[in-house]
Amino acid sequence: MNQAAQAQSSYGTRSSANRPLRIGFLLILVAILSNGLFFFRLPGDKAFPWLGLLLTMAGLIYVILGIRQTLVQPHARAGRWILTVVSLLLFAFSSLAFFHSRALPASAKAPHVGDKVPDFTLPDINGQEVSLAKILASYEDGSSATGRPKAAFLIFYRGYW
Amino acid sequence: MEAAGVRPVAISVDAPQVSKDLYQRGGYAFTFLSDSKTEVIRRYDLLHTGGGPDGHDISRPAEFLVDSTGTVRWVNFTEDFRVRARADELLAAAKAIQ
Repeated sequence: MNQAAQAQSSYGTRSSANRPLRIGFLLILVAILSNGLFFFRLPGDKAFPWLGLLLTMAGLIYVILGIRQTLVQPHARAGRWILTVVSLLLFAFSSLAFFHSRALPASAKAPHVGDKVPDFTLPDINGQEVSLAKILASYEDGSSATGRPKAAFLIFYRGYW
Repeated sequence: MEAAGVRPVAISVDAPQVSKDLYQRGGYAFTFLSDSKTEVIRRYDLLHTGGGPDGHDISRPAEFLVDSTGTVRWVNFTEDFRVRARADELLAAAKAIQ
């Protein structure tokens, strides 16, 4: 047998491409990548976490179908199992990201619209104590605005950047 | 925000030096305050116990628009910390203040 024919026969027993597995992998990958959309602050972005979850779950279904297909194929290549494991790991990561991002305290006693908030004093980046009353009384950080601010926008954030 | 008469104030548990780095790197024009003992965070009921990378207590994300009388005019409380407040909503709320 010449070389071409030999190569041909070793592929003769190759199973057809595992499409469900590939689709599943891609869906989960897209779900993870969709986290990048949050940086753009697009309208309707409140729905994005659910979109990501939907893609992740749909991906899992396809991966499971892919596993079933692999199990009934006699000569599944190692690559297929690797892709399966990677897909499942990505699924776990994507699911955890969803639940982690939403594991926030209820904060029922936080100020609501109409509530009066008490004054407070905290140190700024230079260690100087600054009060909310002082913030509402003037502009200070080298901005060009004059007079009194109409309002203070208090942004509480997670920190640890 | 300046044009709308709104003064932004960013508050977290980060120490002043950490916020200073952020301020200098990002070229932010606004005030960063450090609540390392989570006193104000607790007063506003925003404490996220163990939410930080080493299990530190941090603030959950939340934004409040407070007018000159100290009254809250707009609140943003996200259910998912990936979804952040949008400038247009905030500016609309700021415009509504007399």
